[in-house]
Amino acid sequence: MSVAFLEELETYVTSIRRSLPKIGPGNPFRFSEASSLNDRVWQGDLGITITNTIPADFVKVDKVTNKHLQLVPGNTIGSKHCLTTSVGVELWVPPVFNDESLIGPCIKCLQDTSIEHPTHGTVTIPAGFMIQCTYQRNLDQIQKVEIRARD
Amino acid sequence: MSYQINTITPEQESRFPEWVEKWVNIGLSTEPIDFNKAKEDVCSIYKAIGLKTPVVLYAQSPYEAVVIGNVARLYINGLIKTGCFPPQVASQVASQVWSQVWSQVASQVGSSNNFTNEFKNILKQNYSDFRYGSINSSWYSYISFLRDVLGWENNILKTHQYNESLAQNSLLTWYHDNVAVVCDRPLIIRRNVRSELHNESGPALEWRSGEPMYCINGITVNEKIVIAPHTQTIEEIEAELNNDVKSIRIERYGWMRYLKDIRAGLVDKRNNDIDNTKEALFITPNGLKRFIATCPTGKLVSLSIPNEIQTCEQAQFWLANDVDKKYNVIGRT
Repeated sequence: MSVAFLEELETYVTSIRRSLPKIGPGNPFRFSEASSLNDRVWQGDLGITITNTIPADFVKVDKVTNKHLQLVPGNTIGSKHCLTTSVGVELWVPPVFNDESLIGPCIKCLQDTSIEHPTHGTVTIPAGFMIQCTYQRNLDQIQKVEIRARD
Repeated sequence: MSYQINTITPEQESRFPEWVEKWVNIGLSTEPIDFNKAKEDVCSIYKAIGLKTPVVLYAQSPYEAVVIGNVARLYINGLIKTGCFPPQVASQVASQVWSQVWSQVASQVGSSNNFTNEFKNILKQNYSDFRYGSINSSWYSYISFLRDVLGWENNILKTHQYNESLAQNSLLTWYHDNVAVVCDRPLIIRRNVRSELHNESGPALEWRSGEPMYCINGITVNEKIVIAPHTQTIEEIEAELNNDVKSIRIERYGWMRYLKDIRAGLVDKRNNDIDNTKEALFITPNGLKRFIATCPTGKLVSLSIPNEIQTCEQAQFWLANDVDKKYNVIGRT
């Protein structure tokens, strides 16, 4: 009975969440201070997810500089998902971070922090939240890596 | 004396970047080689292994090196036959074989369409008689680090030094018993962020002879795929046997156009109210699944997905690496 009721509540809050105003094309988005663990927004193919855990094998960046601001490896326009500042952020990076990675930096925002992109809307994370960057899977890339590994 | 190096000191390790920088620069150099220096090194190598000094010639591409080398070898060994290659080439070879004007000869050799089957067979037999120079920089970096930093000593290193020197003055060298052809470096090298040969609007590599090489993300393709991909036909794409090249062909042709032209089957479609997108899942006659979605920036995105995916919703969860549906997607911008 209690489990069924909990599920009912979950369904209800999900429906509330889903009926929130939709993000318009290219419009900015700000995570609410009431955001929950595992809430995720996609800025193009960059997933920005509220988290409270830093993966064990991640390495803390001692001094966050401009070279750490870009959150997607590469030099194409599509990869220019960038923190607007290195001030007020703590950052951890995975041991391997390249254009085949599915998981990227973990960022603790000590102040309101924004992620910009040339074509997608700016995403703002309120102070006190931590986010995990993830990337969409790409089957073509996976198959290419598998072929390379077989070779 | 044989011995093992079991550890390296932090001081030795700190020199890795120096070696990497030096040999990466050599490997990627597009500066013209010092042919006279390369010639000296080649002659030293022949002497070191007890062979007579060879005729050393110059080429502007590996292809040219094989052709020039074989023409010279046949001439020197008295094996040139009338009709083996165009008469003007044979006469030029006869008059210039001892000179260093082989690039002019090579330009008149031209396309392999000019070759007789006999000469093509000769080329097939020994086209790979190369020893890599700067193209194999990693090897020379490895050996020289062992020698110069870790103190490895061995008699073989005396001979190796000629190869190492030659590597700094040639892309590669085509060797034969009495002829060697030193190949110059490319004129242009273009690469992607993964350091693979890559150029979407022209040759990824150009030899000094003018021969282009077209590559997309390290895969060699033909000129049409790079320069005029829209002129490909469905028949050409479907006839492509190399799956990597076929994938590039379709990408360059345009997935939307391809799906329409091959009349791909619609498996599922939906309005995604959370992401604010329209989505569709297609299957090609070959059984490949393709997920198409509108993007908030006004583009259509086409993504390859595994065959077991049956719905647009499943496709989104697979792409997000979230098949357990752990995350709450609030939206997409």
